[in-house]
Parts: sequence; C-alpha cells; structure tokens
Amino acid sequence: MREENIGINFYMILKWIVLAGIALLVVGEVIFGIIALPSAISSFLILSVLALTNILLWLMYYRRINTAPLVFFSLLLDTALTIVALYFNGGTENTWLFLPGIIILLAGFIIDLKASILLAVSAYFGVILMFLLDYNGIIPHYSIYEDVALHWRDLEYNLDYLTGMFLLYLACALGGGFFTYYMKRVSNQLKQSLEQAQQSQTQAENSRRAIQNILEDLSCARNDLEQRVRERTQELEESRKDLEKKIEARTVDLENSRKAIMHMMRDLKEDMSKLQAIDRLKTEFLSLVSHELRTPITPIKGYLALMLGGKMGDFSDQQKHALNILMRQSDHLEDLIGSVLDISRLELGKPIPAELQPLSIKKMIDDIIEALKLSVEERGLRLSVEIPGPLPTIMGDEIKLKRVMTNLIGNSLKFTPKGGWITIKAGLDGTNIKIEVVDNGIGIAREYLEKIFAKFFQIDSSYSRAAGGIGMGLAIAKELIELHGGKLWAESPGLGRGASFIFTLPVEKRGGA
Amino acid sequence: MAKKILIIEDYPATAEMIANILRSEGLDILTAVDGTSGLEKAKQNQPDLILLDIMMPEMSGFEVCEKLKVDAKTANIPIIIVSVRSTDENIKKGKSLGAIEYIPKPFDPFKLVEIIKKNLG
Repeated sequence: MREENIGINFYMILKWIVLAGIALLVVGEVIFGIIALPSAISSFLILSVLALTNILLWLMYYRRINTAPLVFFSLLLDTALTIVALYFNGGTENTWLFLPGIIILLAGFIIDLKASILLAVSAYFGVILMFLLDYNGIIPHYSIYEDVALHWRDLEYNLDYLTGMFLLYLACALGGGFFTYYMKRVSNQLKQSLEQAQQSQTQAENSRRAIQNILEDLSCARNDLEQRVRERTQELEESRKDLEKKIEARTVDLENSRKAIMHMMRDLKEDMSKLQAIDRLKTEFLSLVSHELRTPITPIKGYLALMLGGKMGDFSDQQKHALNILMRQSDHLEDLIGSVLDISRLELGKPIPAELQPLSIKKMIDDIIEALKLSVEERGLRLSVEIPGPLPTIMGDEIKLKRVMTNLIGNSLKFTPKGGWITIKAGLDGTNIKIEVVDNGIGIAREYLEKIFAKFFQIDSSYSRAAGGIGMGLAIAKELIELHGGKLWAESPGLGRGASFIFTLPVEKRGGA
Repeated sequence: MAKKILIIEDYPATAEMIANILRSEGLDILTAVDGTSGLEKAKQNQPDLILLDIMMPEMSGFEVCEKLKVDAKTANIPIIIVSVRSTDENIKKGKSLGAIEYIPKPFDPFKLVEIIKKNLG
C-alpha cells in the first residue's frame, strides 16, 4: 500500500506539473496569437476537469480512501484526453502518439500489471476508434502539416505506425506492470526478511528480556537471600552473644560452685582427719580399757574357780548355784571384753589372732546348748537342734566360733518372746558347712537386714540395752566368720515373723594326707 | 623344803588370789608389786620360779624378764609370764626373752597350778 501511495503521490505531482506546463503553453500560444481564444478556453476547460480529478484524488489520498479505482479512472481520462488532443493535432500525423504509453507505464508503476494492460488495451482501442473515424472521414481531420496532407492517408504507413504504437503501449504496460510486480516481490521479500529480522530481533529481544527477567529474578533472589543471610547471621550473632553471656554466667557459677566444693572438701578433709584422730583415740582407748578390765576379772574368776573347786571350804547348794551364776556372768563379761578387744584390733588394722584346730561342729553346738540350757528354760523357750547327717570336721578357732554361735543364739533368746522357739540347723552345703539359727521372734525389718552387722549398731538402743548388749556382737561375729573364710548373713520375712542368722564355714580339704 | 615362788604383780587382788591357791598347794610365796622390788627379791631370795606380770608401772614385765636373764644370779630361774596381753606378738616376745610359759589372763587357777608343778619338776 505504501509503494502504491508513493506512486500516487508522484503521479499527482507529475500531473500538476504537466497541467501547469500545458496551461503555460496554452497561455503562451494565446499571447503570441498562435491559437484563437475560443480554442484556448476549451483547453482550459479540459485542464480544469483534469485538475478537478487530481484535487479529488488528492483529497481521497489524504482521507485514506481506497484510491485505486479513481486513479485508474483518472489515468483513463488522461489517456482519453491525450488521444482526443492528439486527434485534434493531426492524429496519426503526430509523432507524440507515444504519450499514452507514458501514462500506461505510470499505471503499471502506480497500480499493477492488470491495470496497465487494461489501460493499454483501452488506449489502443481509443486510438484505433479515432483513426477509423478520422480515416473514413466520419469526423473531420485536423492536419498539422500542410504539405504532407496525403501522408496520413497512406494506409500502409498508418498500419505500421499503429502496429508500432500497439507494441509500444504493450511494452509500456508490461514494463510498468512487471516492474511493479517485481518491485512488489522484492519489496515483499525485503519485507519478509525485515519481518524475519524483526521477528528474530523480537525473539532475541524476548530472550534478552527473559534472560533479563531471570537475571532480575536471580538478583532479587540473591538480594533476598543476602537479606535473609544477613538476618540469620545477625540472629546467630545475637544467639552467640547470648550463649556467651550464659556460658560466662554459668562459668562464674561453676567456678563459685567449684570454690565452694573445694572449700567443703578442705573442711571435710580437716573433719576427716579430726575424726580419724578421734577414732584412733577411741580405738586405743577401747584397747586399753579392755586390757584394764581383764585385770580385775582375773582375781574374780580365780576366786570363783577356787570356791567352786572346793578350795575355799564347803558351800550350800544355794551358794553353789549363786557361784555358778557369778562364774557364768564373769565368763560373759570376759567375752564382752574380748569382743571389744577384737573390735579395737580390727579398727587398728591388726589381725585377730586365731588358733586353728580341728573342730566338730556338732560337739560345739552341744556344748553351747548345754551352757545355755538354763537361760533357755528361764525364758520359757524351746530350743531344738536339727543335724540330719554326720558332718566333717573343720579347722577353726574354737573360742571364737563358740563366741559367734553364743552371740547368735543369745540374740535369738533376747528377741524371742516367751513361749517361742529357737532351732539350730547344721548341714553340708557344697564345700561348706551351713549353720542356721532360726527363731520365731520379733524378726527384722528388711531395711535393717544389712545394717545390723555395722559396729555399735542398734535398732533401738533402749530396747537393746534392756536386752543386754552393746551392739558389737554381730559386727564381730561377721568378722570372725570371714576370718574363717565363711559368710554370715541374716534373713527375715519381716517384723514379727522371726529371723534366721546363717553362716557358712569351708570344709577343710584333706588333700592327700 | 618347800619350793619358793616369787609373784611380781602390781594388782594386789590378783597377787593375793594366786598366793592363796599356791600356798594351799604347800608352796612358799614371795610377792613384789613392781619390777624394781621384784628384781631385788629375786636376787636376794633365789626363788625356784617367778610368775611375772607384764603391764606394770615404771618397769614392764618384759624389761624385768630381760634383766633377770642378764643377771647371772637369776638367769637360771624359770619365768612364767601371766598377762592380759595375749596376742601372738606378745607371746613370741616373752618367749624370746626367756620365759618358759606365757599364760593369758584371766586364767583357770587350777591350770596355773598344774603348769607351775610341771615346771618345778
């Protein structure tokens, strides 16, 4: 459309120039008296019509109305007027009959091949029609040459001339049309290339934009990330500072605690060494006291033995009974002193002396029962012994083992109410002899089963004192049994349900002897 | 002639009790309440046997025993130690110093008599 418009513009300008040129020519001819005024006026009328069409075309062009039909009509009119004008100027005599060819060429340039061919055919028919009318004298002939009047009558010349014009018109139509056609093609190709280039550029631009968008997104994301990293870093930094403060505070606390603990430990150490010193003093005192107590017991027991041995005169049965009780109590006292001495030895880290000799457990039990018979009867208790089979002899310190058994049975006597029973069991248990002292007395609470073996331990000191003990019996008994390589422990189903004291003694290995 | 026994014992009741039973066995009894007088009486009276306590003030029985054995006049007198100290250690010490017997206190007086008679021959 744009190329056409350029052509139309060109055509309109050209037409103004041509019209102006013709107008000037006609005015000049009138001035110089070449043509008469009536003829000039008719020429100006025709020029006015042509100018009018050009103005119309001009308006349509600027109103952007489809100008193609009007352009064709205008060109047709131009052609027609040119032919008519040529007719009045000699017809085929006039060599300017090529002028319509220029208009046809223009039509080809401005419109297209079809328009130029149509115009060429129309023009040629117009020329032929005018020639036929002129040649046959139907309309008058206006010759431009005086002497060549006959020349236009020459049919051969006319046919040649008209044939030449036909070829010229056709050539102009084809030339203009094809020029435009190729121009359009080239222009289309150019346009396509341009479009493609534009498309490519658009695509490239789109890609560029897409990339830019991505880059922007990335940049945003990066900024966002940086922001978040900054925030997190700040948070972390705050947390770290917070932690540092806490750690510092904790460190100070810990340091204080450590100092306090060190202080306490120092105090404890001092207390410990004081306690150890006191403990040692106590132990030494115990040792001394027990030795000193033995001194008065010696004459007491000595005289008792002499009296009971008949060396101090005769005694009544009642007196003898009393002497026996005195003797037994002296033995008990001596035993207690011996216990204290043993304990003091243990505490001082000295070994308890033990005289090992072959012993019969059964005989030992019988001896003890014999010795305790009186006490058992006095308390209204039943004492029985269960030894199912023969027992091997063991190696042991008779005095100490007797002390242990006396202590255990004595405990049962103390803690078993009147009417109760005590049973002594002995039997083989693997490589050991197992001895049990079982009663149905007040029993032992579970929590005390182990504590009762601690030195000077008494569940209830007032009760224990009433029962007659100093709280060392079990501790020393345990030590003595362990001295023999055995074990001593207590069992009880609970308070009020009796108790068992059990100890083991390893059976002597007879080897090859 | 009755045999002479010297009892060196600082605890009078014990000394008296021992003297009592030994006299009833027909023995002559001399007593001393400390080591110094004991040593003197041993030299002067030349007893046939000495019963010696260990825990005494000023001079212990071990010292007395040592001195008796050093002095030629008393070196041959048999010594029986009677003491409340009855650990193996003490018994060993007493025997190494020359005591023929070591009897722990308290003791059965009849057994003491038996031991003394055995050692008087």
